[in-house]
Amino acid sequence: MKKIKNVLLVDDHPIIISAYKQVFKKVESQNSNLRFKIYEANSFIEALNHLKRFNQKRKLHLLLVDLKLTPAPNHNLLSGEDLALQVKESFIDVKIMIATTYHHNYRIHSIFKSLNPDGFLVKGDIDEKEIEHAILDLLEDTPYYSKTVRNALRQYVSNDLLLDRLDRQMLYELSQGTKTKDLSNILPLSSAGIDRRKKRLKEILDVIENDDKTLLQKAKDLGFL
Amino acid sequence: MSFKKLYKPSLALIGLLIVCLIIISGLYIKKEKPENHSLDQFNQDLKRLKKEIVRSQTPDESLLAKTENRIQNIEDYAIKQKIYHDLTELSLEKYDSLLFYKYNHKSLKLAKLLNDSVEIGLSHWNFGAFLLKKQKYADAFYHYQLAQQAFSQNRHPYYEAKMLYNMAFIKGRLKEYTESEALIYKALPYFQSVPKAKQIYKCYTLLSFINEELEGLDQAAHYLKLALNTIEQHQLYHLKASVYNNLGLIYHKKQNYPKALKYFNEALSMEVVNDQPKLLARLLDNRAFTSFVSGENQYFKDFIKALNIRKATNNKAGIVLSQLHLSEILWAQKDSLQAIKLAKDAVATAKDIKLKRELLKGLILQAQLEPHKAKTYIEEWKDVHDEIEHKVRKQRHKVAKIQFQTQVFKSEAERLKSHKSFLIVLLSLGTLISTLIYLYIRQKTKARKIKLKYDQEQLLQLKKEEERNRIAADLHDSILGKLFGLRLQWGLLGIESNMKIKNEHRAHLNTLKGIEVEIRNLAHDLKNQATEINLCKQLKNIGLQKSKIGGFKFKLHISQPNIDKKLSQFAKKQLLAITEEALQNVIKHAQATILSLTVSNPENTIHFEISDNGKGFDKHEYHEGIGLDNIRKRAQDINAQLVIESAKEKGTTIKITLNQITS
Repeated sequence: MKKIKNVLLVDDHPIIISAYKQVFKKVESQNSNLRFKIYEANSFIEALNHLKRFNQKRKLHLLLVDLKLTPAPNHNLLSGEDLALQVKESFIDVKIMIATTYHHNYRIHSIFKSLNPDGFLVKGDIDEKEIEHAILDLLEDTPYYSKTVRNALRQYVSNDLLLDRLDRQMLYELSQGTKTKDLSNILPLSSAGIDRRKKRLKEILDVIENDDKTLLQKAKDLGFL
Repeated sequence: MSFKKLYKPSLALIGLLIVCLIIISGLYIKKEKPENHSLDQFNQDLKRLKKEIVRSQTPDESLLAKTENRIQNIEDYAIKQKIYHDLTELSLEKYDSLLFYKYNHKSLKLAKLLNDSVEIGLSHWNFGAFLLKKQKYADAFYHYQLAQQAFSQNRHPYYEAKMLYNMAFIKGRLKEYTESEALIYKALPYFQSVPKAKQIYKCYTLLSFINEELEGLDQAAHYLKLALNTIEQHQLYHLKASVYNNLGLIYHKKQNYPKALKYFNEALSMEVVNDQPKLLARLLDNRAFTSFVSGENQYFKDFIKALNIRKATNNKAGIVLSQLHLSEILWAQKDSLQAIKLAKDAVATAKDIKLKRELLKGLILQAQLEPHKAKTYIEEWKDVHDEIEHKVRKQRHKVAKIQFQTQVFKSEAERLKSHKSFLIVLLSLGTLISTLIYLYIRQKTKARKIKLKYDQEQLLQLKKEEERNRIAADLHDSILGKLFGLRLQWGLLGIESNMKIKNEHRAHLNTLKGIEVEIRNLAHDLKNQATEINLCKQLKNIGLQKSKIGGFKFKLHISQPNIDKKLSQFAKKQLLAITEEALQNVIKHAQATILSLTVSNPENTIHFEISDNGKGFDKHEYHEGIGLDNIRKRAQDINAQLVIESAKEKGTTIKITLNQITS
């Protein structure tokens, strides 16, 4: 008997969706007992519309979502991460697979902290074969992480003692070009607190210069970013 | 006594003249050759004129006119003045008043034109000397005072002191003894400090004269003894006899006849006296008279001897003295007839040569000799005395007036000067303030301009950043996504073919994947503005900038052009910071003229060397400052070896060696 798995694909590039679909078809053709019912969405609104059809009886089995999508602030959706969190709350057994072009250690770490996805693919790492593996692993309850993600996790474990979440977030924001004066709008810290943290970070990372660039370079070299 | 004998040596004068003529002729030869002939003529004329003045002949009109004309044509004021000066000195010496006035006036005028205060002083001195000879005391005093001011202006203290002495001398003659004394004490300290023995001697003699006039005989004797001491100290023995004579006279006045005689005898025993007939006659006369007054009269024959010497040398004043003394003695010896005759002669001669003191003495003697005519003599005496007193008083008043006017002029000049300096201070203060205001405004405008420019640059930078971010986002989100989708699709195309084509297919897909990675990195770098550091360019920039400030020559040598690829961004950054720090140190301390920076690449290492030719430092004495400390820390950060070599006056070299990155 063929198991039917409901799959929701969310990506703003139709070409990627169509590629994903072809991979699922290929998996189907190679595993006679698997059958996928695929729903596709190019935006958060479309994704939300699809989600309305699912409930406890009609389960969603797999969500493959891109992190970078046009935000929908009305629905409290700023990134794929938010959508994935909502889905995870609504459907207990759903498998979440993230596919993203983001490859920074911090971003990867933060997604693990908040979401702990079953699959995490960095688009630059993978090809169609890896997606096949990922799909199969997830359906067998085995997590699948692509190469960059695995590296990030390893470094995270070794450095986690020194830097807390806020430190990492601050470094990440700085690396994204956020100015120090704007940091207090993003982080739950006062500007004096940010300066203090920055000073401490420089001491920990052994940075003498008074500019952020060197700090970020060092943080990157050490795998925090 | 007060005449300048310093300028007398005729040899030196002639020498000076020759030099002067050579200069003139040199100038003329250079200028125009055809004038040579007339120049020689002129020099000959000038020589002839001088010769005639020296011989006390009156030069003929044509010669005077000719030379005068030529002198007028000389263009160089200094040379012209010099010629007039020489002619003045010659005519003064020869006491030719006509020529003297003519030449000295011209000399003074030119000196004033040239603003040469020494020459102005010398001209006034000449006037003073000339007028003093004529006994025009007030006028002489006026000129001496001007000369003294000129010399004091020019800081010529010796001449100034001499002028003060001359002024004192005049005051003494005008019986203003205290003022005379004061003037001497202004001049004397300078003479003593040099020392100028003859001038000191003259001062003491004048002081002694003043005290004698004031009846302070002991004091007068004291000053003469001081004069004697000066003579002894400086071996001016030829002056000794004269001082003995004066001392003798003072002791005579004190009625200490033995002591007076002792001095006269001492003087007469000196050999030099025989060469000075005037002094010899005076000594003989004085000794005889003292001996006579003391009642011994053992030198009676000397009266005759002195009179004869004086007659032989035509010393009229001396003859009067001798005659008076003789008359007195003859009267004492009851030879009244002879005595009356001598007294009469003496009075007549004294009147003739205006020897006032002796004239008065003679009249008194005559009154004593001829009691019946005493009344006439006494009246005459009174007339003469009054006349003398009147004359002295008149001159004295004139001097006082001159002095007063000078004083008024001086204080007025000082007042004007202080007023002027106040104005100058005010003016310069005003100028300073307005300059400061101007500078302040200019600085402010400049600062505003710089701020404006900076703001514009900031804005531009911001715009650039925005644009970069937009491109980065496009690259990342849109192009990268599409490429990924394309790659996946392509991979899924079930290409059924042989192994070779399948492999090629796979390779192309990998290339595509590589392109994705590249684009992703590019996008990220765009966002982070982490443009690659161009070490060579940056080093050049730093070097040019700092060498301009430090005023040294900057030489950069990089052995390999693609050194940038062999160093990490971090290392390059540190090296740039080290260079900046080192150059800052050179600017601050080294005073170097050349700074060379070499980057080489031996055996997988990068060698970085900064050396200057400045003053260096001694490692043992030097306490490492923040600068070197920073360099050390930075070198540590990039795991580089750091060597700093320096020695005093040997410059400083900083050597850094680090591993290149393995690609």
